[in-house]
Amino acid sequence: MPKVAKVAAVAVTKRLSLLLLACLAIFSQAAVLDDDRVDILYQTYNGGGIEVEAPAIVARKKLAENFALSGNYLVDMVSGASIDAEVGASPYEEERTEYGVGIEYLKDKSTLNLHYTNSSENDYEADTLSLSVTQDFFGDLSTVNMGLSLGDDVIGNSTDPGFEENAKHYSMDFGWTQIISKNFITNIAFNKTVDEGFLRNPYRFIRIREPDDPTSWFASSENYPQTRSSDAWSVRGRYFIASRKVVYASYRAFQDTWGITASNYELGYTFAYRENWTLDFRYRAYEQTDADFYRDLFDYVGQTTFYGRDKELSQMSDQMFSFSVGYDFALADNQTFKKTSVYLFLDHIRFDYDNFRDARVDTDAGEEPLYAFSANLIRIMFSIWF
Amino acid sequence: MNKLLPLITFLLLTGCSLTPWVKPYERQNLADPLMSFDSTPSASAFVQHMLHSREGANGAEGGEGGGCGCN
Repeated sequence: MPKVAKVAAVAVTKRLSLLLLACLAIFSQAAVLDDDRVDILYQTYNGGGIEVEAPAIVARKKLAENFALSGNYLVDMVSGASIDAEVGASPYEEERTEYGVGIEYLKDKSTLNLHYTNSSENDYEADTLSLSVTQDFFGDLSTVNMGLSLGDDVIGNSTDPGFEENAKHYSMDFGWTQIISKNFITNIAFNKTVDEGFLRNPYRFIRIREPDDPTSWFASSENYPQTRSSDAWSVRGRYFIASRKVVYASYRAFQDTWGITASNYELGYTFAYRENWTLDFRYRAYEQTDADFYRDLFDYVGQTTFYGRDKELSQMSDQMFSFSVGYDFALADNQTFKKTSVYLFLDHIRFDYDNFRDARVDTDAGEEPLYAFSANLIRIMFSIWF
Repeated sequence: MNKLLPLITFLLLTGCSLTPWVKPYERQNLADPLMSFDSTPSASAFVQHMLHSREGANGAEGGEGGGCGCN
């Protein structure tokens, strides 16, 4: 190499080294983990004939500046009878317990999360393991997160002790959060999920028109595909209007290999009142098309290769109105507790089914009214930061 | 390598020229808990689980719950 070129190359190398150091300096400003926190919740759901009470506790504790542990425990106590239980043979009472443990490890701008969840019912056992990585870029203006999740379910049937089936769920998430301006932040997210195995509910059935009497029907078991692949993407944004007033919106689109296409959007307004109060108003609307193999009433046995009548696979929509109010206050021993708050959440949701009929009504098959129901959720949460 | 040097130089220069357009001292509003996409994730999980078991779609919308929830 000629001497002039060699000198030039050395100069360029030095310049590149400086630039690299400058870039690394931008990337290596250390982030911090969230504060230690305990949430105690009492949650209820009432609608569609069933009542759910779900007390829960969620806690996280930093063991070092870059390492935290978290845990959660929830009990779902379900009573009453949904339309599926009334028409079919689902149990009228059941209890589900869910616990989870997680670790969080922070290294410079990267955060690694590992989480395990177990959900247990007398007829359903689910284990989920998830791993995610979050990385901040460019002076924290951008944050990328990637996650993988593996789920393993064992499905039983309380009316048949010998019944046992399996399902597996593989999920991949990608998200990008971007600060647009000093008042505007956005997020895009993508999820790919693949489900395999026994994907139907063993208590549900299809209705088939009686060959000899077309005004009546008889029940037969469902038959679902053994695999399902779905894609979902979403975009969200929050805008700080002024003086602790924030408007937000989101949109999500979904489609799967069973023929379901769905979308939902959400609009909200949240603001602080005086020093200690936080109020939030939210509206969410959702709609979906039905699965290819869904029918409310099949005309004859073997009409389709796969067949199902789960109302979750029908053409349906729902609308949810939500309100929450939070109040921050100080406990007497405020040297131990940095902050305490109590929240009340109220939600009202209305489900409308376009081709799922109320089979409890005694009339000609296929002439029953379309099914619809409303539900109310009440959640109270007490939080302590320490 | 000589041909790649200008390209690498350009990429590094433009990469580093992406200095934060919102300075740290301008992020008071963004740091407000009201600007968090989910400031109460413990409470949101219950609603997400309820929707997950009553809607055909899931994913790309926050937490996932385990179990059937299908009664």
